[in-house]
Amino acid sequence: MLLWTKRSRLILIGVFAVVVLVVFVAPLATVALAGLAGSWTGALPSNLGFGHFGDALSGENLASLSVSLQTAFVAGAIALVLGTWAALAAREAPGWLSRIVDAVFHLPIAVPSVAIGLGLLIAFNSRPLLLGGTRWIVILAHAVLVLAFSFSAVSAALDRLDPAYRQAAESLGAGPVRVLTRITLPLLLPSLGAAAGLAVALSMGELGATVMVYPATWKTLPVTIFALTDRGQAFQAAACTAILLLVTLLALVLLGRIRGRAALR
Amino acid sequence: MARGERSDGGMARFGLSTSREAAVTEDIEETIAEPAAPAITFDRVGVAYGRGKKATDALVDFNLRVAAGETVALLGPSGSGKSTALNALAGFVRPTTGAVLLGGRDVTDLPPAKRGIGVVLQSYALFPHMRVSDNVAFGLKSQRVPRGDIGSRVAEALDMVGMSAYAKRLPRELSGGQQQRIAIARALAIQPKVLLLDEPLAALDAQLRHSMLAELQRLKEALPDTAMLYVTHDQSEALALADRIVVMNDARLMDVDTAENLWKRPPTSFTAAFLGGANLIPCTVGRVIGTSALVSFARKTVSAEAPQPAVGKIDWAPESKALLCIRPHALQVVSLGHRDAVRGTVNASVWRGSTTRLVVSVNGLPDQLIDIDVPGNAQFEIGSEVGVRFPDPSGVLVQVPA
Amino acid sequence: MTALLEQPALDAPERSAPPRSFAGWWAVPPLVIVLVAAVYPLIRVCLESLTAGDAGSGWSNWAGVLSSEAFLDALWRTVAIAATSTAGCLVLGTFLAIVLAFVPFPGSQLVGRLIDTVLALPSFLITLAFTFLYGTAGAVNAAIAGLTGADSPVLNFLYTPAGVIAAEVTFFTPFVIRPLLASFSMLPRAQLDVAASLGASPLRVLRAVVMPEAWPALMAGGSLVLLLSLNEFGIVLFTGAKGVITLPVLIYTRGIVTFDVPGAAVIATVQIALSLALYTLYRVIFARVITRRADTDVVVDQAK
Repeated sequence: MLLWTKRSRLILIGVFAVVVLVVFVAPLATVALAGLAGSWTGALPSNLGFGHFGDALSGENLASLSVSLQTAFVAGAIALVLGTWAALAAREAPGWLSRIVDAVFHLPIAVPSVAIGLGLLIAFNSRPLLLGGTRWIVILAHAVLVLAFSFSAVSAALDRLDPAYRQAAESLGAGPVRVLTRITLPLLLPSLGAAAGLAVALSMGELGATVMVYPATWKTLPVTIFALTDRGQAFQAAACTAILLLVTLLALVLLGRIRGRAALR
Repeated sequence: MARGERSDGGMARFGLSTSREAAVTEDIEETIAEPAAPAITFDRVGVAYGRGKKATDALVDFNLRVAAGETVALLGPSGSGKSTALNALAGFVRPTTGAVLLGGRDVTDLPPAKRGIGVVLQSYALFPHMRVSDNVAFGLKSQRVPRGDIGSRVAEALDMVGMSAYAKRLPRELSGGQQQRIAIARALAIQPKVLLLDEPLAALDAQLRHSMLAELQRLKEALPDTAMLYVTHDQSEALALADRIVVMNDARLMDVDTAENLWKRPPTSFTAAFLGGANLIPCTVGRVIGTSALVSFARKTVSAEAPQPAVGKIDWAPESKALLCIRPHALQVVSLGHRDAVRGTVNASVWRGSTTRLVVSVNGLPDQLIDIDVPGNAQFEIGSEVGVRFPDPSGVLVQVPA
Repeated sequence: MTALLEQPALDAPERSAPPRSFAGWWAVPPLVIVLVAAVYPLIRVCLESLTAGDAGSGWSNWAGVLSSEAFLDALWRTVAIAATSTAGCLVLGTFLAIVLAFVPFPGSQLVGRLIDTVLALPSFLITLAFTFLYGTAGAVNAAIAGLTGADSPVLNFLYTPAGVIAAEVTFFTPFVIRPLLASFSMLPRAQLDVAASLGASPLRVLRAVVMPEAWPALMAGGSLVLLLSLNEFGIVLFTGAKGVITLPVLIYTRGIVTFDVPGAAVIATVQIALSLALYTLYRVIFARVITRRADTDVVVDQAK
């Protein structure tokens, strides 16, 4: 299409491969390796062992992992429900209302996460809604941040949905509730699964807002990792990060597998 | 178009042909009751998209009545508004002007769910996450048919289209033709009074189309009380299935009549060309006797049919201009010396299997090329001279478009 | 014969507007929840920045913070780093997208997926990896030292803005690749083939056929990356406060480390304003990309 000689193609692919390896693969591999390493003074790590990984899966680190997972699933669920609800309703709403919904729901991406964190800290640290100091302020922060992504993912999926299904269902006598529950939602299921996966992944890696609001009793894994690096325990931090990565990817794959019978191709 | 008096009392406004109109009038006199409302009525329906300067008309001033049990085909090229008319009837599109009535009841403001129609869409839209039996049962469940009856009605519907063995399959496991049958079964299961089909055969290959057309004919016989509105751009489907054909072009209704009348006596040049293909030769009308006329073109005089419409009267005045519609297969190619023949030169020759289409330029008609269909694989050289023989009567007269 | 024997005496009257559907109002509850959970806190931040701190009235609070060297330094730093990162992402992203889209090789799908997954990962991961790779005691330096026998480390950019920029380019390039790939997929391959058959070299084909299609996606991707890198926190935090302080990190240190919440609120308000302005710009550009594409295929609006 673009390059016609085998030689030029090979050269370009070669450069591409080098770039991809250096830019993307190297950091990921490094973190994994560092987690395995006892020390790394030379060009390659030495003293490889699972010691750090063992530590990463016990004690405080394990507790942080569990905190992160719980936060991710609860916040992800909230974000998914709210996002789907809003996306479905925004389609039927008059134009001005759906534009407002669109703008408001995308707001959290537009502002820095630390600002959201600061805002939640100020707003919910006193009555009537005292959330500060509990796990719920962290969950709320994550839900708000992840909401924008689930809203836009579900909206995009709704746009791709063939209107003929709805028309056929309506012509057969189905009311709006039946169309929603029997036709729209089942057909959206694969996209909902993907959106859920993304929501969980983003929540697992969230740091900016969390670090502003977290109580000592609810430390997520990224916060723990930061504390480790601050203390100079880089290898331990690397091992924890590798675990974080693994669990995130696992969640992505598992949730992405929810396809249901609606998967067409 | 100039129209004379009406002798029918206004019934013709909605396109009922003469014989049916007479029958209805008889019925009225017999029963002295209200005439049964037509199953479908389009009353000056118009659909426009956009606003102000950017408004486009998808349908303009569409009037049609379809009786119960009748099959009407909406025939026309793409963009002619036929799908829009169907969507307006189904409720997927809201008319900007006019009203849509089902069984005499104004349904224009009703959502599709409450109209009691069955629709078969071009893409079939079978719900991919449900099995065939659940697809067919969907309409019954939505309309709260008692649980016990659903099973038998589903079986009945599947039986009608010959797909009983496929009840447990998923739509993606079916071929195009099979999916189409399930879509029809799904629409029929709710026993609608009106069935709408939007280019149902368009996605099938030629051979499958033939067999499905036969099936649709069979289905039509099996449902004598259901009115059908069938949208297509393929005239052979319209000719095969429809009691009446509505020819549409450019968002407007052009002509409405039975297939035979539209073929033998096309009211407009568009219908003449669209339905069957035709040579439209400008000619001058000579003497007119009843429904026969002598017309002349290119220094030749031939006889032609000068049709009169079922309602109103066309004045085929002598010395007036008209179009002579001659079907390509009616013309004959003969040897040059033949006494009736006009001299012509072959411009192009395309073998189409059972016939060969020749494009001939005829002496005396400098601006026009004549299409002639010759049986078999007639091999004519480009540029060779042939004789063209006009039959007697040569064709039918069509009014020159305004 | 034909149906209409007479034009109806009057044209059919225009129908009134369709009865209002109330289904759309279901959007209000989630909207209200988000307004309370997200918009209200942000408003509180702006208000907090005006509260009287130790320094007296609210406005002097602002004056104090805005004129402080720390703030101005961080502001400049933030903008400079964001701009450079964006430029880097655009260059790298364009190159990678072009290869992925137009130079097919086995496994290109996999590589595309890999690059996509980076989006879901935490950003501080990159900085952490860099410490091991490019730190003064890192692998690359050790390798170079082993090869050249040099004493002092060659690569010493980790704790400088360059380190942050490198990490941000790594993390944000996929945000440029995605829209580019999407717009490239809309380009009919036939255009490239025809251009080549007419004698154009690959570079000319790129310049004349590919890039004009790609500009809107580039601008949309670029403005998104600019916004995200302005607001990036994790990478800068992990780099450490030694050489690089950006606005988000300043908010954190002011608010949590030194407990100067009003001061932090001032900085946060500035950054919120900056981000919102940039985001609006991004949406405007993106909207034009969308409508341009929509013009090519006719979109018929169905009345509900």
